[in-house]
Amino acid sequence: MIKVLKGRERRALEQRLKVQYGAKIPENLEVVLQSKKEFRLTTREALQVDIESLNPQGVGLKIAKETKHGIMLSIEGAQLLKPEAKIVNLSLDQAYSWVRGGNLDIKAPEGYVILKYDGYYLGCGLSRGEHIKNLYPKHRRIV
Amino acid sequence: MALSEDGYSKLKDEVFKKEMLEKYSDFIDDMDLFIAYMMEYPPQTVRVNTLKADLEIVVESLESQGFKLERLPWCNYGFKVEGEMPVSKTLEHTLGYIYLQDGASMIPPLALDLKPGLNVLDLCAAPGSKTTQIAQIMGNSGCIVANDVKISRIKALTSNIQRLGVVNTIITMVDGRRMPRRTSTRFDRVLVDAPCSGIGEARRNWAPLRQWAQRRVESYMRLQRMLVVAGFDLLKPGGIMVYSTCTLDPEENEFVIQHLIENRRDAVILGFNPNLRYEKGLTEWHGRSLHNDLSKTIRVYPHHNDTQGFYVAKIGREEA
Repeated sequence: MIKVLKGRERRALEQRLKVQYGAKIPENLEVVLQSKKEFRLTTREALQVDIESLNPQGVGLKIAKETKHGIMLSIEGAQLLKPEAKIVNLSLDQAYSWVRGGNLDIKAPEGYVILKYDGYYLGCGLSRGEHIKNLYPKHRRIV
Repeated sequence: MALSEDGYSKLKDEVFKKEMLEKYSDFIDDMDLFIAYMMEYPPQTVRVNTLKADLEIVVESLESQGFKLERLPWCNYGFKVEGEMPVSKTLEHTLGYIYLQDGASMIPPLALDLKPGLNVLDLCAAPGSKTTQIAQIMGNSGCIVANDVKISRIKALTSNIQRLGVVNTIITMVDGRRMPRRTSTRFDRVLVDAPCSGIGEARRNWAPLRQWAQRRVESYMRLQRMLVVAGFDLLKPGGIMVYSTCTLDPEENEFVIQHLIENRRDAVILGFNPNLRYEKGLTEWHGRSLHNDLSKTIRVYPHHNDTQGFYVAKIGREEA
């Protein structure tokens, strides 16, 4: 089930992303809501293709999902929207520990934070105040 | 430990079927060198994903981690990489700034003459190497319909499209042979990177060499013929289709294009000239004459550029 967010619905999402992360959705891309929880970005041309009879499995790029703690940005969502708030800068060792699945003992405001190393966005973690819980997808971890 | 001459010969006999070697010696220029390369693991090659990162920054970062990079002459964002650890263990890989892809496999998207804003179909898209390269060349604009037939393959495709940051793609799951009947959409470009017996890929895994059988080649050929015709039928007049395989048997390559030319009058074989050593496609095979323009298609042999083996044909559809 795919729904294209237009007008008020799109503006509401943009406002939430701005408040939560200081992030902005590129104007030239369309926002699609998939399975009620997943926000995706795609091109206008992609939405014009007649795909209903082709058993569509997914459209565009997953940038965020709705959770009980608010909106969680995906790694690609963080890379594309370039958030400016809730950033936690990591050292190289901490960055590698993060992509290997380790939690981080770093103080940060509670809720979702964006991990960053030297210009590389590493996605979202969930801060509990004293430490950050690892949310790096298991299938992308370096083992 | 290097193999003795005896050990090498025994291994060669175990891995290669005699019938296959006899057949291949009719078109491969230097069989000893071909066999030597086929038994060696290929170099690690990557494509820098310029959708996500600046090429020079990624190259500098990898070099600062001790990797040696050598640019591929035919693809300015493709690199041969040498290092003490696998490049797949780097931040750049997990974050989608680089993609592990054989150098020869970067050729088919280059042959498509891509431009921003086009509608492209990748008929047999999984695991997504070429889909994501197409998106990169188009700067994430226009639309790519990335299709495959099995859910297990769709999962790999979905994961790679996400990791590489591709926004302009719709993933579909239908049997490519039936696609022209299921949609009225026609595309500016079509890539048919067909399932094949995979001899060109056997440097990574010898299974295709051990499984090689003429009847297996012919079975793939039947599927490929249907796919290439379906791909062509989904192409707009004036559009371009690329057919490619990672195998070298003429039945899966030139014979498939010959079949298309015989069955679609508006199909024309186009020339292209990537900056690497290649052989022209065959125009005669075991007494059977094939279309002269098949010499415009290209065969990439592993021992010529230290890549996988590949076959690429560029096809145009004449304007009505």
